[in-house]
Amino acid sequence: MKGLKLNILLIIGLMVILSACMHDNALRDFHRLVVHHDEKAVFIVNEGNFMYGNASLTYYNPNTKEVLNDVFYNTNALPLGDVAYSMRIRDSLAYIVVNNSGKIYIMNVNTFRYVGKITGFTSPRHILFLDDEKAYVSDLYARTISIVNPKTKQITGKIDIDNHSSRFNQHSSEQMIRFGDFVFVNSWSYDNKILVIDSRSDRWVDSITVAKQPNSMVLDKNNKLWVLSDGGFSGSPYGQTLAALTRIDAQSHQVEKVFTFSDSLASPSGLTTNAAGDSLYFLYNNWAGGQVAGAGLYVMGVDDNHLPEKPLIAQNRKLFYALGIDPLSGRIYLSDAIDFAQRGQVYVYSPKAVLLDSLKAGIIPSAFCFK
Amino acid sequence: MTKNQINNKIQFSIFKTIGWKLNFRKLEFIWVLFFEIWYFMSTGINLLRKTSILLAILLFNNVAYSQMAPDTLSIPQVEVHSKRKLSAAGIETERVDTLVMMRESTVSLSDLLAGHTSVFIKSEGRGALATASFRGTDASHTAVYWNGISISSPMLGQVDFSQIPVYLMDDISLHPGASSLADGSGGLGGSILLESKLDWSQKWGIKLVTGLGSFQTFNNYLRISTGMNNFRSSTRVYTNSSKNDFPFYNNNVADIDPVSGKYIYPLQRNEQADYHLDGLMQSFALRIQKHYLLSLDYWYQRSSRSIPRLNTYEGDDHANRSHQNDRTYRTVFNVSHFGSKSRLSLKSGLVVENMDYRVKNLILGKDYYNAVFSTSKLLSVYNKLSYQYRPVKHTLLKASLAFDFHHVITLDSVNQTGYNQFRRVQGAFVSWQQQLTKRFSTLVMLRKEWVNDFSVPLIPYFGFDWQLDKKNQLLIHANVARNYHYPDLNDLFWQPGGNPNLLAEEGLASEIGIKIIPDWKKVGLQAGITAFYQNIQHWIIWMPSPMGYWSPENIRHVIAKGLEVNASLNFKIQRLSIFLKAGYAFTKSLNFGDAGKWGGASIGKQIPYVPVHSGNFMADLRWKGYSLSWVNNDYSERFTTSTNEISLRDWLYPYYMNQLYLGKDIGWGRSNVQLQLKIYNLFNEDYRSVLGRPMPGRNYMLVLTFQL
Repeated sequence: MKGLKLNILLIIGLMVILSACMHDNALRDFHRLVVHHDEKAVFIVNEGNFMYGNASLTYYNPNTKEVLNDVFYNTNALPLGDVAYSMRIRDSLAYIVVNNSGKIYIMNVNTFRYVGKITGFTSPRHILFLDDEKAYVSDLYARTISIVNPKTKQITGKIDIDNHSSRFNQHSSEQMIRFGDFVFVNSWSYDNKILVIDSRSDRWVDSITVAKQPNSMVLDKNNKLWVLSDGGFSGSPYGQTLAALTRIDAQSHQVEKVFTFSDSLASPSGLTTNAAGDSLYFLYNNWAGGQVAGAGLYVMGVDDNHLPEKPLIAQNRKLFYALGIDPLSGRIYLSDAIDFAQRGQVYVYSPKAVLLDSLKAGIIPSAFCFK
Repeated sequence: MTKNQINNKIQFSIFKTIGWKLNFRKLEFIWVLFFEIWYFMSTGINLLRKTSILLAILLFNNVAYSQMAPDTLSIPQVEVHSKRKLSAAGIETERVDTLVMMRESTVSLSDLLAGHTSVFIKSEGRGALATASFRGTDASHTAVYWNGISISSPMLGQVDFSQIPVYLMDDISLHPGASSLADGSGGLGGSILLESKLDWSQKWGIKLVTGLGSFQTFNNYLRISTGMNNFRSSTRVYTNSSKNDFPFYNNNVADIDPVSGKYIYPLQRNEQADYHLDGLMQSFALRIQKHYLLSLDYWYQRSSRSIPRLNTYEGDDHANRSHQNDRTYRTVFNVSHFGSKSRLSLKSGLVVENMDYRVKNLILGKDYYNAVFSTSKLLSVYNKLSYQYRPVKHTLLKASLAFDFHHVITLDSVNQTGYNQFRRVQGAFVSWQQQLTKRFSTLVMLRKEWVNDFSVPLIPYFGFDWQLDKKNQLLIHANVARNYHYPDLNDLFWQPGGNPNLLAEEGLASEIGIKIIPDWKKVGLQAGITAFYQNIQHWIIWMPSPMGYWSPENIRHVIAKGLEVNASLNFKIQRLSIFLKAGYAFTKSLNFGDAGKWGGASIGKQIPYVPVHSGNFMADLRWKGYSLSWVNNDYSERFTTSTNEISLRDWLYPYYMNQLYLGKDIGWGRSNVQLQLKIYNLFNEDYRSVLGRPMPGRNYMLVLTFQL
């Protein structure tokens, strides 16, 4: 009896010691996801928490309603990185810009397999393809736009957009829209400019001044560039103005019309257009704390001469974080980050704002990419 | 018999009679302890023996009574141990053993707390930010005091424990839960008391500790104590540095082999993680007549540290380079008058801190530009007038008035965001300890504070001690209190996002426990078990938003319940001394906030980063000058999501950390020299403290301690 007790103790002791030798490798010891999905689908880019490295990618098939979360990790056993910010698809390859990991992951859009990466960025935000061998990558802190060759996966050059001012780290670059030989870039961080890049010479040639902090922009069917500015935050050393929607003629670079929001608490964002380019969608909320009246998703016709008064989809107790419009079906995708420390919720609405589906994505779903 | 042999005999018999008896009355014990010290110091036995025996006695006494607070009412600066002194009744104090402090002298306070107390340490990596949380609460709910003044940052309400080397401290004790109210308000989880003291038992001494460790780690410490008659001075200088570039296989990034298509994981080094810590601590104390004690402490520390990028970073190597510099100056002046039944003290402290944090990027291969360059200047003044009066033997009354002032200026020169704010804190405190019967004592405390013009609601405390048996071997203790934590300056004023409308966090803390200290002759044992309950409302949480602004709100409501068990045992088998200590804590810290804000799936779930099970264990063996210590620290899984949902990628799996220390005392004339080899992460385990950061494998440190 005593001997048995001692043996048990010894075994338990050994188990404790041996089980203590946990290895990280055990976390990769799972069956990889092996799929081939080439139907039309929606990818949801989930930022994850800043400095946690828990960004992820969600796959959603709106016809079958199939949801696959963490597709990049489950297929490749590699984390996407820290703060996955945006994604673009070109030729069955998805280019996922991971903002706080300084890289762009290249993934096969049907199998989710990791096929390559472009590394060496500072704080990359979006990628814009000019052709098969040239793309621009915008950056928040580098005061330059990187020129990359997607085929060789190398950074081949930089476009200098340094304002040479010691204040506010200008200019940052965010979204990029191509119009002919020119590329429009918005500088939102403590800034108020739309930069114009000549893609033939890869140089910054012009600036258009708009309301403070232009955070998103689209090109409509009339070749007008629409820019949504949130106006800055209360107490900002850069100042705060009312939020505004600016219409610029893409050809002449002239500001044609400015629609100003009347509520100083509002910080609209997420300006998107539909495939026809005749409607503008945006999120209307307060991002520096607090609530604003009439928060929700708004839609406006490009030929309207005043801002919409009522939301298409009211926010109520939700917190709309990101917006996407499916170019093919016109369906509206809205994400709700809830408490930012759990899987976010994504709502799918018909173009007429009827709720069609709701799914759980990753932590802080912040961008939609339509295949 | 030779003189030595006679001395040895006398020593041994005194040791036997005094050292093994546990049941003392206060006065007898003090006298006896003094006698031991005086006797050993004045006889001709060599210093090595003296010091080691003295250490053994103090250690033993310490071990036996380490759950009781020392009483410094009538004799300043000398340890007096006795069972359940009136000033310790009704309040719970956990003291860190001097043996532990000796073994862990070269590490930082975070490592000591993690390995030897029930406090949970969340560390960002080796040498990186380490914060403490008691009983499932937040780091800002842990109040920290050094020589009687608060050293928590008025901006953040937290302390970085990786910046406090253990060798600077002579005494470390904890007041968990409601007991923190004895020191101040705001410690909803508990408080940690650090003391750097002067040694009145000897006129002069030198102590040198030098450590050489893996990854180019150098720790150096020198203490010179001098004095005469009623004056003492102590000077400590120190410098710690490390390149900290430990190697690791990074499984989070991979290149694809162009031929085979297989992944190639790189072997990397923990780069941009070096740290330097230098400082000076000077103390003076003067006893005037028999009733006055004046002391002055000055502590200067300079720290510089690089902050590494995450293990998923593959960006420009010349970008996102983060660096933090800190210069802190702390001065504490204290004057006390000791009457026969009373004590009056005035304490004044001044803290100046200059800190800067920068993130820089190389632009166009030419110049480094700062993306962030944040500088903070803090000035804090603390003043406390306290009075203690013992009208009769069974009553102890205390009262104090405090007036603190803070001024913080912070500025990010890139965006020009920042704030410049003042804060005044006025406080009043009364406490009444009463021994109602021979076995039952109570403590009532009341605190009232005003922060600027805001009157913080009254903070009451009630606790009791109930000695169950005649011999005082079994004790039941309990307490309950309501506490408030006023929002810290960053919560209110940080740009962007600071919320000046925040409410104070409110906490209800309570506990009940039982302690056993049997009166055994050959074996020293003590054990205790405590159950606690905490209810914290309006807990402030910072939430992010799309364009990068974070903003705090009073949205969390947490109920923390749990159990803490600890036990220590020491005994001798012939010439082998054995000391064993173990602790375990079960903590359920659950979120009961508004489901509308948190989503239904978070309600009733464990809050992130608080482990449900945590434990530590130490075994120390000493034989003829050799010592062997094994320290073990375990944590169960920790969640990073509010819903406790885990994915293999983000799993902070349980870890069991083990260290082994081997030491040898070498007598060298009148001095004591000790050589110690420390092996950290004995089993070379992979472990995760936070996401995205590598942790070192097995590493070593060689420590030489020289004492005269």
